[in-house]
Parts: sequence; structure tokens; C-alpha cells
Amino acid sequence: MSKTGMAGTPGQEAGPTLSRRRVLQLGAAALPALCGARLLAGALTGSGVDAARAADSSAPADDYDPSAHSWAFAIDTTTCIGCGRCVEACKLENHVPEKPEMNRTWVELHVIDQDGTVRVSSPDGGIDGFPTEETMPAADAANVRDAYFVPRTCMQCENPPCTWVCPVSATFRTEDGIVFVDEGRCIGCGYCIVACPYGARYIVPAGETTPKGVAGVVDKCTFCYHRITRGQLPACAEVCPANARIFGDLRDATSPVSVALNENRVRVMKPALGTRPQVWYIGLEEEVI
Amino acid sequence: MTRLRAALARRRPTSLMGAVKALMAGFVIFVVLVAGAVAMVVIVPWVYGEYGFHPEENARSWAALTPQYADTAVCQSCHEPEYAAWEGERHASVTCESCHGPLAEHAATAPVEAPAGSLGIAVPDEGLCAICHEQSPAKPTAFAQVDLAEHYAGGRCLNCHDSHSADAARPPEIPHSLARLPECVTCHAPAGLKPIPDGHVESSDAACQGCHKRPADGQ
Repeated sequence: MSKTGMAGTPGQEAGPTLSRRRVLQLGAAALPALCGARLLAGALTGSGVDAARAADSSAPADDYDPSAHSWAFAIDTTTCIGCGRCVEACKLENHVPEKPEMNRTWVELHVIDQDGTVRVSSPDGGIDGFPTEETMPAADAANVRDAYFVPRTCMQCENPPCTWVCPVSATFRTEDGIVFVDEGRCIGCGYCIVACPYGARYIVPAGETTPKGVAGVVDKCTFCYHRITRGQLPACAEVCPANARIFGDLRDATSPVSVALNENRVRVMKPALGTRPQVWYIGLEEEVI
Repeated sequence: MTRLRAALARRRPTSLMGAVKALMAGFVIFVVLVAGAVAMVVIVPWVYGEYGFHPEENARSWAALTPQYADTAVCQSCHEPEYAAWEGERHASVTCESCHGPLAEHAATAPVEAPAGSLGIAVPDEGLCAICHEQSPAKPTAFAQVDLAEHYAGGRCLNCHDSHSADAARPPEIPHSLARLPECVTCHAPAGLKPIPDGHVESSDAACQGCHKRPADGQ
């Protein structure tokens, strides 16, 4: 048929009505066919997902439905004692490099002076706590108006700048609110590290790998996705002795995080950027990043 | 309108063959539709769209990692005495693995009949106590804090405190005057007149009196 339609083929009588009209007719038929095929395929895959899941033994929670959750943290700076157990647990749980400047989560000490100046320190990410004489010297006490600890992590923004800038679409946000790095696509260019207003990302250094054994790519907090999809808490929240890391599901009104957001005055970091963080802070006085 | 009517009239089958042709065309469209749907199902991964239309199974592979930290309920299933001492006490907000480290692998592999202390599970020392309880103006005032230079300096936390319940038995005070007396160990050596209890070591007077006070003498 296509031969018949090729008007330029020598020695053949190309019927003008056949070539043009037939092509248009075929096109008109193909359009609804393709649209219908997509719809039908969608319906078929919908039922196919469960079957594929059931067959995949590596899937931790077969009945886990991303569309039914919205994970979030409420971080209580009024109870944090700066012990750094969260930082250690995160490193051990998630294969984070030992280097003190590389963390998925870390703790800062915010010291607000009488004149309003805010000083931020985080020795080794706070993994060994904050020895008093080194971080809050007694000689300096009269100058200090307030001081408290601020645990930090990826904000899992609803509108994440990091995903916008990635040139290879390696970083993406899921329906249940987690921003991941696809280590198979990441080229380690570091644009997302620059774009993140919260300093939540790092490049896995030489000699180290991500939890999935990949080197030279960007790594970041996943809210311990392998734990929360099994019904566990993120490692940092699990070990926190002061209940400063309140984790849960915003879709569940009885979840600790929902209750904490309901009962406390909270704020996010850098709200003016429009990133809509999913980590809220209780008792955060000054905004310092 | 007239032009549209004329066009429709042209398309209407005027004979039996025409009707058959039109039916055939409809059937071809149907076949193409079904074939397209089947091709889509084969080509598009099963999980496409499940995680916000990212075509990778990436999110699922993050979910498939193995947790390193178990949780307190897992510890309880074997370590009932320690659990009972901890539950409902002041340290109850501190989970087992806050101090003992990640133990999911231990929980999965340790033989149940292994004698206590034989598996090399970390027992924390004073350094860990101090990380939480060293006095600091940055800590909430309601939180239990001590000045390390003042609070039984030289003593070991666990000599007095039970780590699981956080209960403390204060060291007994010195019931006699210290005036014109020789060193403590003169009488209180392990083989002395009134020997020190097990777990104590012969120490300088400063070490002894770091814990055992003599309130009457103001020491």
C-alpha cells in the first residue's frame, strides 16, 4: 500500500484519490487508536502492578501504597539536647561516609547573642555531641540571650529546587513526598547541591559508595524509605532520646507529626523561597541557614 | 450546512459492498487499538506512574534496602529483664539502640542460647552518659544535667546509676571524722580492717572522697 502511495515511484500509476485520502483516513484512524491504546494499557497496567509486586520478593511491603501517605517531620528544638545520636544512627543506617562534613542529617547549635547576632556551629555535624566548654564557654555566658540545638535534614520540599535543575532528571519527588536521587542516572554534576537552599546533599567521595553501592553520585536523606515503608521509624527518630524528631504521615490525623503540627506553633526554614518544606520546626527563633 | 450534508451523503454507503467496507474499516480500527494496548503493556514498565511518573523502579529499590536498626520490641523478645528495668522508667524515651548501636543483624543472627555478654554488643561507657547529661546552657532546663567537674568527679557513672532505669543509689557518706587519720586504704584495702566492697579499687583519698562525702566536716 505504501508503494502505491508513493507518488514519485516511476512506472506506476499513482491514483491521486487513493494516496492522499487513504493516508488521511489512516491517520484519522490511528489517532483514536493510539489514544484508546494508552487508556487500555493504563487499565491493564493498573491491575498488573499488584501481580508484579507479589512476584518481587525484594519489595519490603507488598501492600505499601505511595498514594496513601505523605511523610513529614516536626522537629522540636525545645527538647533537643544535642547528643548527636541521630547523626550517628543516620551514618550507620545509610552508609553515609565518615567524613564529618558529609551528612544526610546533622545537628547545629544556634547561639543568639544579646545584640541579636546568631552564631551557628556544628562540630563534626554534632555526631559526638556539643562539649560545653568548647561550644558554650562559661566566660561567654553573659553575652548569650538564648541557645538551642537545631537538628537538620533534607526538607523533602513539595516544590524542590533540586529536581528542577537536574540536567538528566535523575532526582525526582514521589507521590508520598520523598525526593530521591536515581543513582543510575545521576552524573554527579552537583547542580542540585548548589540549588538546594538547605545544604542537604553531598557527592559521595572517592572510596565511598551510596547505600546501593554506587560511587561518584549525589546522596541525600530518604527519610529512611526502607524503614518507613516497613512501618518503622527513620533511624534518627528511632534513636532520639529526647523525642525531638517527631515523624509520621500527614494523611493520618492521629500520626504523631499531625498531632505535633496541630498542637504547636511551627515554622519552616526559608518559607519565602516557596519550596514548601515537609519538615516543620517547633521553637525555632531565628532563621539561620 | 449544505456542504456538510453533501459531504456526509458522499460518505454514506450506497450499496451492500459499501456497508461491508465500512464495517471492515471499523474492525481494522478496533484491531489496531487492541494491538496498541498490548504493545504498550509490554513496552512500558509495570511500575510506570506508580511513583509520580518516574519511569525507573528507583523508589522501590530504595525501599528494598535492609534496615540496620531493629526496634525495642525486637530487643524485648530476648532481653526481657533489661526491658522490664527500662520500661516506664526515666530512661524509657531512650531506645535500646540509642546506646547499644544498630542491632538488626544481631537480632537476625544471634543464637538465642548464647550466654549474655558473649556476642560483643557494645556496652557504653561514661563518655556516652556525658554526651547527653553534661550541663549546657543550650539544653532544656528540665533535662537532667550535671557539672562533670563537680558531680562525683573521678567516679564512674555506672557505679551509682543503673543505666536502664536511670535510678541512682547515692554512695554512703563517711560515718566518722577524717581528722588525724591516715589514707583511706589503710583501713579500707581489699584485705583491710573494713574492706572496700567488690567492684571498688584501691584509690587515692581524692578518688574515694570524690564520691563518699563527710558532710559534718564540710568535705
